Amino acid sequence: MSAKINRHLIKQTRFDSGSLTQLGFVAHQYKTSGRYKVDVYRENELRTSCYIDVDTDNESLQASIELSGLELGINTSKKGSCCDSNVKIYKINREGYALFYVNKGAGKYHVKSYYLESRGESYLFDSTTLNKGDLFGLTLLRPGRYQLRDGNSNPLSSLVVEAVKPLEKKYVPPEAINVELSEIHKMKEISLLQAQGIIFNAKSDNRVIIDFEDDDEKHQCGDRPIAARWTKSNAKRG
Amino acid sequence: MAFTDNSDLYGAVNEAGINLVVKHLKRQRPSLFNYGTEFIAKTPKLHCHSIDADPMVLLRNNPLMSIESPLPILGTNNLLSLHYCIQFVNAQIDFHKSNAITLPSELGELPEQHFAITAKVCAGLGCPDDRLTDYIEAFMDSFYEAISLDDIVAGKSTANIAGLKTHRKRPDPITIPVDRLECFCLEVFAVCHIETRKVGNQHIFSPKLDNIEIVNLAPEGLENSIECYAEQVIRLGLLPRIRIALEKLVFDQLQIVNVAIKPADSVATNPAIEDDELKVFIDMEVS
Amino acid sequence: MAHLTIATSETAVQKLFNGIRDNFSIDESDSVDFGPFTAGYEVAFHLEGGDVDMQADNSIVVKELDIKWDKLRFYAGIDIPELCIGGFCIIALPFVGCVLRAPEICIFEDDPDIGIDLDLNGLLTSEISLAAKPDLQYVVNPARPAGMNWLDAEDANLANMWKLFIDPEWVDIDIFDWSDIVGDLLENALDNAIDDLLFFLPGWAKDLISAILGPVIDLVRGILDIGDDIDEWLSDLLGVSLGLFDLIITAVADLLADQFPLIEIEDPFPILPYQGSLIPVKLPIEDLDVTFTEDELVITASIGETL
Repeated sequence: MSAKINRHLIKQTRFDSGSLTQLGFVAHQYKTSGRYKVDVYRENELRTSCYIDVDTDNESLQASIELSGLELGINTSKKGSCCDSNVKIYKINREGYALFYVNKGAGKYHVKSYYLESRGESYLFDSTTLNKGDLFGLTLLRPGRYQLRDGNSNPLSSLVVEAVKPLEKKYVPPEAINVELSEIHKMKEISLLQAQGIIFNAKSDNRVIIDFEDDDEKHQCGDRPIAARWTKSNAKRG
Repeated sequence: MAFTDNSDLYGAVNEAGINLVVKHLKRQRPSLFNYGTEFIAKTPKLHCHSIDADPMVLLRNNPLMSIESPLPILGTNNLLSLHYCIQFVNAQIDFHKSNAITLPSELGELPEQHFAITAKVCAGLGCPDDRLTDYIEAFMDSFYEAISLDDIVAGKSTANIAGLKTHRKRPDPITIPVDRLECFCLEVFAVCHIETRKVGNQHIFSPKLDNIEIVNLAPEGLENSIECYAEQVIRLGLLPRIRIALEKLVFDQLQIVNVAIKPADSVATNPAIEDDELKVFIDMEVS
Repeated sequence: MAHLTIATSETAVQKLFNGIRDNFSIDESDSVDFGPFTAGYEVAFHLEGGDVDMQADNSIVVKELDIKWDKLRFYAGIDIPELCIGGFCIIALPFVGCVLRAPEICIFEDDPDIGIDLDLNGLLTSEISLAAKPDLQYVVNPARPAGMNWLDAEDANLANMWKLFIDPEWVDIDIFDWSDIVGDLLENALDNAIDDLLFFLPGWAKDLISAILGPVIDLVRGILDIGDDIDEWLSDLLGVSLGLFDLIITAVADLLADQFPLIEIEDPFPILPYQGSLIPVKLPIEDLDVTFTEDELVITASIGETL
């Protein structure tokens, strides 16, 4: 009997659009054809890079870029470099999205990308500040109450994830809900079921930080049962 | 009718089989059937009857004859003796009903549950020729004091009369060498039966000699004496050894079932000697 | 005409058969990978009982030969399907469908599996019946060099043998009954297996996983392809798919056919042992013949003229 659980899914209590961890993702649409370089940072340190070729001829409407795998598989290249053959190149249609996510480890990634011909003079996309058209989504597993804040720690709203119980039928999470960040201040509380997705549509200069608040004792990890125990006092009594 | 109507196990060996057993016994263990002095044993050309031995007997240097002491010449203070051999040849067994051996009239008809044995017994004595005897005689004279008539008349002590000369060393005993044996053969007939005895936890066959006859031997006293001697040889020397072979042949085969066995009680005569066979009826002892 | 006749009654043949039967035991294990799950067994058993019935057609029938299980353990390892969350549609276009989909994140780092382990000892009643004919074989000792004489073979313990086997014509195995509690045992084992798999998780995670997996029993029943009749499924899996019944039948058939002879007779047969340096006296056994009648087993043999 074996099960190596992805423990980060169980343990993590903070989800940050500007510091991506597992269960979260950021999507960006590159609207101009050409080659883009994406620099991948983990804990604010440049770790690796990749290219995204955007063209109307590319069929794919989605390039899913898994950042932890990218870091493990490819070395970083100098900013502005275009000739490193080891750098991975993703192809995407001009109508499509690049989706950045993490599926291994503790994460804390963000990405910055620029049009290659601009020689890195200015970043076109920085995942720590989402702008109109950018998306931040996540799937919350742990039931309880969460607090939503912006990049300056100002509260935005609260979020409640309702627990599900095993039933006679297999549980299928409901469809994801969409939240416009421009209107989030109107929402007193957002309700989700466990494993139900939520997508935040950015407006400008947005960053979303979600912290788990309701730390219920009953949700603590179970201890490994003790089969037998020897103690000095027991031994002396024996 | 099944063989095992009255017992758990049944074993039978017929007389042809037994005679083959005796034949193999004779070839593989010839020393059971041939006896003689060491010199005779080692000199096959002197045997009264040539011995047909299995090649393995010779290959393993097994004796063809059992070595016996030479026959002392009486009156020589064991100084002189003669070579001899005795050989049992053509031994044959006939289980009731008698149809293979014609018993001499002295033994009458073979009784029920009995078996007959016949064997030709050949014996030979190493008799020296006269010249050798003359020579030995002269040689022996030199060992004895001469006896004069005067000594007897004068009433001297007779202690040294015809005694060995005291001043000479006593010679080693010798068996008079021979280059041939004077052989003769006798037909011996015997009537036997088999008893089962329990020795400890083991049931054993025990062949018993009822009567023995040597035909055409006279006078009657000589015949009786030789018969007496042959009886002792058969009863004390031969049958006990054949008994072991019989037991191995019958009991070992029947002990294929790994349980204790015993002669079946429900059979009147057990073992039975009938229909030219030796039959054994065995029950398994279930504890 | 044969020189020797040996007959053993039906009772004695039963005893002989009991001797073979009591020499027999099997301790085996096997497993098979069925794709979504692996299953195996560990069995040890011996035989008891068995009524020998001799037939007029030179055969014997053995009935009610009970298989006594000393160990009957069934185990299965079941791959739980990959359990991933996310993957929902972010942007869907009319007529095109979903054009942007959230990534799937899998809860387990590799395919998880659970094991169930059932001790079925004492829960299965089964017996064997068979029919066999005598098979008399003259077995030349395979270790005996060509040309070795009978005496050297005796010394080296390499004598040839007459061996009487009972050659099976057919062997049947009957599974009479699984105990009623087998179904409950299996379901409890599955429940426990899932609990054991997730024991270290917090309750909310366990609940979520269980909810997504759906009812565990249904899930595993589906994977294992258990129908309505657990007895039938278990018999089919153990007996047919895992080949346990074939193993038993083959083992019993081999036992009778060439492992444990009913009777062994050394050839040449010793009647006097070594006596000092005097060689043993042995008899050549020829023309051995064996017949089963309705009443007894009859063996006849002749003593050969020469070794």
